[in-house]
Amino acid sequence: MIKKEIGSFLKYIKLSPIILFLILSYFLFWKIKNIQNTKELQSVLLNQDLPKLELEYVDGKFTLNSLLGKKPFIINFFASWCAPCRQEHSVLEKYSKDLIIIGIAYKDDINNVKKFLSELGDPYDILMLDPNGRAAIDLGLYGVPETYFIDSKGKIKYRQVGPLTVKKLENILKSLKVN
Amino acid sequence: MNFLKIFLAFFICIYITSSYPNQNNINSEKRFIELSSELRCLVCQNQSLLESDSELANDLKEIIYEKINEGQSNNQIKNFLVQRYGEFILFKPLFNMANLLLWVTPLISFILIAFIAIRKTNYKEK
Amino acid sequence: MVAELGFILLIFAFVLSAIHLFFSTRVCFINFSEDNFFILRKINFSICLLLIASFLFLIISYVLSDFSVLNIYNNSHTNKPLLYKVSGTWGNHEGSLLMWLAFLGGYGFFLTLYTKNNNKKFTAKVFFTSNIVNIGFIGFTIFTSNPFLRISPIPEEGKGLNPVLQDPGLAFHPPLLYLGYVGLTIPFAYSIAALLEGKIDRKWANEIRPWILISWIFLTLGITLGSFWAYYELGWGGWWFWDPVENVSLLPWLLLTALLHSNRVTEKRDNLKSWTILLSIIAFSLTLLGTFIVRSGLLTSVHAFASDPARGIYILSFLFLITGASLILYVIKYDKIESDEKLNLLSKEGGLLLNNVFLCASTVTILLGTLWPLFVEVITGKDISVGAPYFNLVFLPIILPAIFVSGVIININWKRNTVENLLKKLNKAIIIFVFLIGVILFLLEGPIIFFIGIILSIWLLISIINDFYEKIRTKKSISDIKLSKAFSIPISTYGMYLAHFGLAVFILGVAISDSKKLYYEGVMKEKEIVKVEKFKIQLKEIIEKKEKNWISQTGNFSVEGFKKNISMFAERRLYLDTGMPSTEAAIYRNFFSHLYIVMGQEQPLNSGKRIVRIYFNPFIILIWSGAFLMAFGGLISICDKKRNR
Repeated sequence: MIKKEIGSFLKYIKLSPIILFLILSYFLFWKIKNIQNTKELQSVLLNQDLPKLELEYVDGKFTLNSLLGKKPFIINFFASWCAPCRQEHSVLEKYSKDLIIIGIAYKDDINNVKKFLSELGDPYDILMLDPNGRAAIDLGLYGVPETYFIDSKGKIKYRQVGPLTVKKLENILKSLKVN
Repeated sequence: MNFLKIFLAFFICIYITSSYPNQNNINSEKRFIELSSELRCLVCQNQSLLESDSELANDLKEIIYEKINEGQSNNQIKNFLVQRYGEFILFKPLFNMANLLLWVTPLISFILIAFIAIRKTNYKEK
Repeated sequence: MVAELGFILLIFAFVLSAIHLFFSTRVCFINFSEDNFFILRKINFSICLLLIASFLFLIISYVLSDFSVLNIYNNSHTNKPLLYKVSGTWGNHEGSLLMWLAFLGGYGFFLTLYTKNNNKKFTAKVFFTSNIVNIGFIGFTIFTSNPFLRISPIPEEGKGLNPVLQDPGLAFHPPLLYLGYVGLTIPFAYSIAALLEGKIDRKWANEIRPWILISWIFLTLGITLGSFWAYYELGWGGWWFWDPVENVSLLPWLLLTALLHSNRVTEKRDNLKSWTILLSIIAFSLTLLGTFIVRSGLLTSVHAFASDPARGIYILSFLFLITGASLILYVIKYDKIESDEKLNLLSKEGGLLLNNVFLCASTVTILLGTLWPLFVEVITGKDISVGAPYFNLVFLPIILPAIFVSGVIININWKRNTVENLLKKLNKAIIIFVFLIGVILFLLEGPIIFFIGIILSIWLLISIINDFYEKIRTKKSISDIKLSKAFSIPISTYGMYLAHFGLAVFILGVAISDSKKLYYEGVMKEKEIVKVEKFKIQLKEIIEKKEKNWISQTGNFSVEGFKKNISMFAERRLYLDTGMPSTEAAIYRNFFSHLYIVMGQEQPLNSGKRIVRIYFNPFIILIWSGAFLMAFGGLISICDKKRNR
């Protein structure tokens, strides 16, 4: 009895290639349609609390702790030796009045950083140093420049790998306001 | 009948022996090489940390080395990195429910195809 | 002018293919007449020649450095040697597609030539199918990737070819690989024709065998060359990285190997027909899938083709239609073609079937592993990776038993066997085998996988020798050998021996080089010395050089540890036209082993410190020579004239 049932079931084994193929095609079509949207780098730390970062405090209007969980702010990793950071700097300068920006100099020397800022302007409300790049790794940094957007609850809302442009920054701010 | 059993046993033996590399007696240098070759260099294309010279890869390798010397286990180190960089960094996916299909497919596909093939033989008639 | 001509020929080919489709549909399904069949043949010849000519025109444009053509402007430069001007033709997406078309033309030409006296009704259906493939690819080239596009104003100088592609290895790796891929079109066309006809017999299997073999040989050579190229050009010290693009070239190879064996059963025993058909359909589909994955940039990989979703959608739709239709046809005709006759498990055909199971299971595994990140992303939105550690872990347990089984199958007879007979035939082999295992276990040490590899390799070797010995000895006594009998063994059997001998050599190479390799990584300055086991290596000096199209820094390493002291030169090049760096590893060959040194860039700048990687890869050459022997064995098999009964 059972044997017969298995036998009749086995007749349909010839269908298995086409079924598997259809499933595969579904995934491939989905992916090719969404390839643009998914290209943005994601971070596992998204919507998580900002981890505790070990940084050298240089100077600023307030401390990181006094900000955290009260106001939204931006963390910008930069370095005086990095060329794209110079381009990005003018964008940050433009927004320095409207946004609270924390600058973290990545693997950099304090004198070089000061020279860099006096040359290009200082958009940062707080300036800190990450001399060996360890704090950056706690945030999952790929390389400089990289920017993190923190909301008023102290959660990471967005991560931008590579230099910001005015257009990109506007888009990010807009999308963060909507949420 | 026996023929098949032998193959199955042989198959399972290899499966088991190759999935448990002897991790007990290897020194930290070897552990470092093994571990960093199982992790992806995130800013390169399909290269492991071990092979990469990029800034990020060098930093991560330094951290791995320190943590091995601190006596942390491979899993602890992997967890540390996954928390920061996501599962994307692991070249060997985690063995969990989400990846269950990935890990059982080798065996399941073998059994299924073998089952179909056996129907073509006079195996039952004997 | 040359470029326009090439494009016009391509359009002609497309129009002719469309006419062919219309015409062959009539010939195949409505009313057949011999005259019409001969017209079909003529159209076939014309399409093929047009495709080849179009490709030649592109090559000519490349040699002339005609930068008014966008594709040439993007991928060539006047300072390139002639070889790289020519190979630059297929070093990019558009050009390589046109090469694909030219190969379709080449295969189509020979197909048309050799089927002159075959069953005409059946052959018309083969033409019908192969023409559909032609249309798909010609359309793909014309509508999404036209290599003949012009630009204006005409630039003075081209942008140059990607430096890692400027290498003799690349000049030959893609053509060989593509010859393998494209060759699969013909077994596919034959399979569809057989399904349409609803009849498969031994003659059919015999006819497609050379085509399968040709495709298999080219694919084997292509993958081998690719692996060798990656080994010395990428500077990662390894020969296989389980990169998605490597995987998608391995997938058709595995299935093709399975097809080769299952086709043998169909040819000899008139069985496993639906299996053979299914394998050729899927193997062909996998080449399409591979092209799709590589050209659409779906998965991150070392092989960076310019990715374009429009191309992805086109080729995916093509894949969907052609594979979907084939598989539906397969379902409809399944009962008609499959014979009810059962196989004896303990026989050559049973063993070949078992080996097919292993090969197919490993194909499924690698396919799933390669596409898994995509599945996870679609379902959960998370990014994950599946890389070398996973593949090594799951691939080996499936493929290693297959190699053991191969050794048994070589010795087993067709049709019926008893265990006693088999043991009687193999007893000497087993005794020698067990003895050798003992010696090896006693003399060598290493990880388990090292022993499994060596033992399997020896087993395969002994089985080949045993089978040969049994074939040439007389029935009277064990030691009585008649060498004259060796001439009566079919040539194709020698081909089979050689291919499996190649496999044994390959496995030996993998086992030794992987388990016994040495690796050193460290920071070095000029004059510094490092010791890696028996080697004493000094970075003597760094030489700076300026060539026509690159500047380079070369590390001069002096090595003690071989019989004589040697100097090795590891180079880092910066190409002036593209501004891209490339690594030239220093490789010193000692018998079958390699000492391999890669020098990194100065980090940080002006510190004089460089990361240096040193690999000692014992017996690594066996890997490629084994694969080469496999291909050569295939070649010998093709040459067997007696095959055509």
